Amino acid sequence: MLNLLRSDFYKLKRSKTFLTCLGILALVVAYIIIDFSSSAYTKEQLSPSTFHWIYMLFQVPYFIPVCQALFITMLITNEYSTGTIKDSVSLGFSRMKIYLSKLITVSVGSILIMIVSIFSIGITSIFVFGIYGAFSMVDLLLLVRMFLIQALLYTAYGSIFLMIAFLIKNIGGTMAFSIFFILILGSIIGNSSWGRILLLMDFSPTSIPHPQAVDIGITTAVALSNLVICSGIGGFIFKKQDIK
Amino acid sequence: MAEYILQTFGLTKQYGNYTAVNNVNMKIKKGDIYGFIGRNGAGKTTMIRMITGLVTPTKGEIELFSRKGEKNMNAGLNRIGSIIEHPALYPDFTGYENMELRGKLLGIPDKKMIGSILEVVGLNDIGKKKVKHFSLGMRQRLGLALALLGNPDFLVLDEPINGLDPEGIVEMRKLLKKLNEEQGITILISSHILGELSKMATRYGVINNGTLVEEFTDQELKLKCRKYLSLRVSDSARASMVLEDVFKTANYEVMPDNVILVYDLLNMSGEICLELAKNNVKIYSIESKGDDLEEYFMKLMGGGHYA
Repeated sequence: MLNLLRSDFYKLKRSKTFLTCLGILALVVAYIIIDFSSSAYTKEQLSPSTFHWIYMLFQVPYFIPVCQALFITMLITNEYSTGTIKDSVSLGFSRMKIYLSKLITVSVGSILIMIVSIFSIGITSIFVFGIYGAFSMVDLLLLVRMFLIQALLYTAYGSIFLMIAFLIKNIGGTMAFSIFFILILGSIIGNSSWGRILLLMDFSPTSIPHPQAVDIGITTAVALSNLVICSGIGGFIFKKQDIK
Repeated sequence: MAEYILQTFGLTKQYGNYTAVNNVNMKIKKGDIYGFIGRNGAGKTTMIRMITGLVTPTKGEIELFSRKGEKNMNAGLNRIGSIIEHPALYPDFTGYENMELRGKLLGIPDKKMIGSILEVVGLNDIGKKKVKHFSLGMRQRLGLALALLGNPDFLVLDEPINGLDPEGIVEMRKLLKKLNEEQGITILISSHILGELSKMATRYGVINNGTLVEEFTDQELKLKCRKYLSLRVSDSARASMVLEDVFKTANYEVMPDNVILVYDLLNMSGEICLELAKNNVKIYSIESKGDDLEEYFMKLMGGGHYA
């Protein structure tokens, strides 16, 4: 398992798509913050409190799932198109372990994307808005809680994209399905509260600026269920798959 | 008793109603260079994929290194190096990075080994060139280097000389023979180029329409493909005496209907006729016969196109 992880992280570290996603994301979120500062109204809305500042860290990069879909699609479907997926299977590694290693790798990749965007927003907003108010222990706890919930959200998203990539196996199909999942499905069932929960949309602090404990509980349970179900289905698909 | 590296028992793969591999019982002994021959679509690659765990058989069993069962199979796969259809390479990585990645997968920390294997396959001076800029021959050699990393006991090579120039083919043959003779690596190799395969294989398996038609050794093949003179004479007993007394050969067979098959003296048909006539043996016909390698394989594969 350790060898599989070493190999997968080696690939992630050298993945051009992943590095490009990180770079573009950092630049885009920085641009959004700079753009905010040009609006007097937004500046007034965002600048006064540390609370808003923390939420801004997680609010702004709403398009992280698109980056995730992109890098996960490229990482997995490339293995099928170049035939390198055969490497680990033909060396006798259990397919479930191979899948688990990929899941851990894409989850870490997704969290890295989130961290990069947080840093980019944080640094840019300090330059643009300055530091407002004191950063208390309560704020730190809020930051940690938001980080953990968002990390779980993106890990759950990652598991969905990973399952899709293992199921469809080609770049075009996987990207099309992922975009359908992110954009179109959201607009169809995202209006109902259950639809929003199932699509993990209620994790977003944009949806619930002041989430209650029960909301966090429900969304955490749904995210974990998504993670477990999608990983189970994806792993099963891969185990039964004939690799050509 | 011979030690088998690989045995399959009734191995079958079906895709819907189509049977790609049908009830194959293949045996590969330790130290063999096993030439696996068949037309396009005969089932070679499906068979190789099942052996390497990429495809699950519909029926039958695989015994690898004398062990059966999924867990043992996975342990056995760890001792196999393979190239299946085309080398699986990361095009944006350099040759060294591809090797380094495989090393991580195999848990090989020794980077010197990478250098020495690249040297063995003649890729020690590739520098930082990315694999996407490699020629087909370089890719094949890198594929072989990847297969050799981890000192495998068994190499499974599906069409490894595809795309190699004549010089590359000779080098590959020499290298595979050297690995077999010096390191005792057992090799399963499928190839389109029958002539080339016959220069290195010690055993053969011929597959046609998913069925293993025949398995034989290179000695058996030589016997099957040898040239001979076929004589139909009036008196086979007297003709035999002439062959033994005058030509000092016992390398012949007497067949029914006074037919004699002579396996040497191929260029002495004139002298044979003369001596038989001198000894009052009438010759009704004399022909040079025998399949060459390709004709023989084509017959086994049902004629037409091969490999």
